[in-house]
Amino acid sequence: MAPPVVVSYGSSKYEKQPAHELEWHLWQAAKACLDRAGLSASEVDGLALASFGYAPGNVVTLAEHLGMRLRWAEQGAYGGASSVIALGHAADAIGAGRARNILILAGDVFSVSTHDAMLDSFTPAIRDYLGPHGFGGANGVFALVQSKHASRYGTTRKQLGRVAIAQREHALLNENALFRHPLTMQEYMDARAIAEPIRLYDCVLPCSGAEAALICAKDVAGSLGRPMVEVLAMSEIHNAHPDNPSSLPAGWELIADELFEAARTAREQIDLVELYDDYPIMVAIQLEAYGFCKEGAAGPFLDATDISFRGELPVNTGGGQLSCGQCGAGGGLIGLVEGITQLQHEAGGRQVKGAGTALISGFGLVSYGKGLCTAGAILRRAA
Amino acid sequence: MHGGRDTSASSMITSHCQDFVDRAAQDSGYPLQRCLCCGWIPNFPRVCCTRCLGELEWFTGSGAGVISACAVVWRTHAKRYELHVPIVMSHIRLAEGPEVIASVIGDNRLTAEIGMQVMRACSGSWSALPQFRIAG
Repeated sequence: MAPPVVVSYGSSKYEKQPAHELEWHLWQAAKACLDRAGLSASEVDGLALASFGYAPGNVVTLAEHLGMRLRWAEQGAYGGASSVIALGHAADAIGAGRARNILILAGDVFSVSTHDAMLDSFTPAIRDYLGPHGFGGANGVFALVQSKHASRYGTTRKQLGRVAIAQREHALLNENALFRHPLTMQEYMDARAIAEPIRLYDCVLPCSGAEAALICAKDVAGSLGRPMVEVLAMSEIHNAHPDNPSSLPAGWELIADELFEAARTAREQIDLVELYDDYPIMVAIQLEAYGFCKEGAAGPFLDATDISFRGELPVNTGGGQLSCGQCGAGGGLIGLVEGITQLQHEAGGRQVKGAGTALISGFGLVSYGKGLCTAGAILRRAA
Repeated sequence: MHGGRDTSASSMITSHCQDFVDRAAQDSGYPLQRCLCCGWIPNFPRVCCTRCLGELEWFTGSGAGVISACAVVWRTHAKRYELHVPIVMSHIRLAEGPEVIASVIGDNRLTAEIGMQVMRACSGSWSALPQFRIAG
């Protein structure tokens, strides 16, 4: 069977207020991705979809809508981890000969108010045991995580602010980002309290948009003339710590070693990381969990490390959800799309010099105090 | 909902949740479940044991615990909770073992911090779920 390689990516234009329907965004992202690859929609035989707001539609009804005949389909059930997981599953499916060209799509049509409405009953445990406390949505959940990390390890807001500021710098070089002004440390520190210790610039802006990635059998990819990106490994874990009502730890620490081992890659070989950034504290926790610094040492690591696209460990080089916006489940694909863009050396002014290997991380399905799904993938630009 | 308990949440559709709310309304302690097979106490109500899938029985916990994480919600996710802002959300390690998530109420709630002792609030609650007060 032909090994799988990632060949293309695409995005719809993000919107602060919903101006288009979800299917429009998904179409735009899919078309941008396929046009870039030079592949026709009729050649797509696999589709993965992650979306919080498409019910009663699903991946197969979307295929109907777009006119695609599928031999493989996956409905993302893992929230913001869905697309990283879909990438691994798609690679397995292509490797097994079950499909040849798989399109991974994710997106939603959200404003702040529609996002709030969804949070009240996002999962059964939230609906039953957190919502009636007026928990504040994901902001309240991750404020508790940040509180615990700060208490346990001394992590400061200023240290976490370095994540938000670096990502904002990256966003200024990404035309699809919704935040278009630089962010200073003073602005970050003085921002309005949302769920203390979380303040405004620790939060994503719910928005409308979609992201897409295309993974093909290598023989197909060879005919497209695009730079090829190999999926070296993907690992996933769900409900990693059943009795813990917090994402500290979240689960990546249980899969990191096997991920690097399966990819035959050392941490020192990673040129950039695209970490799930619903909040800076979760970026910090991923830096620890993947072993870029010791457990509890993310604060000093952020003090000492340039995480800009020019730096020692570039983090979320497209601006991420924190500065581009979070288009629902599309927030779980934005990092993969940016990682592919970087590895194909098409990131323009924010290009990581010589980018050859990237770690992409997913996280999602917030429930009783934590995200239930964690995943990571390592990608490498093919020689 | 002014001054009364919020029972408007769509939540009360599972029997374990309804049992939890009913028991919380009848007792000043904290309703907990214990596995009849292995003795495990899950951190929020379930249909079965999260360790061995055994059958669970209800019992009333002491309602005492220690705050292990603390956050102050200034922006609620739903307008019906705005009356109660600032809402203090906490992880609370109960005396019986489980770590639960609940709100802390009372005029002094903004003084809540990690390590503080809390007790189940017997009056002044605005949620159908059991809430806590700073002890002492």
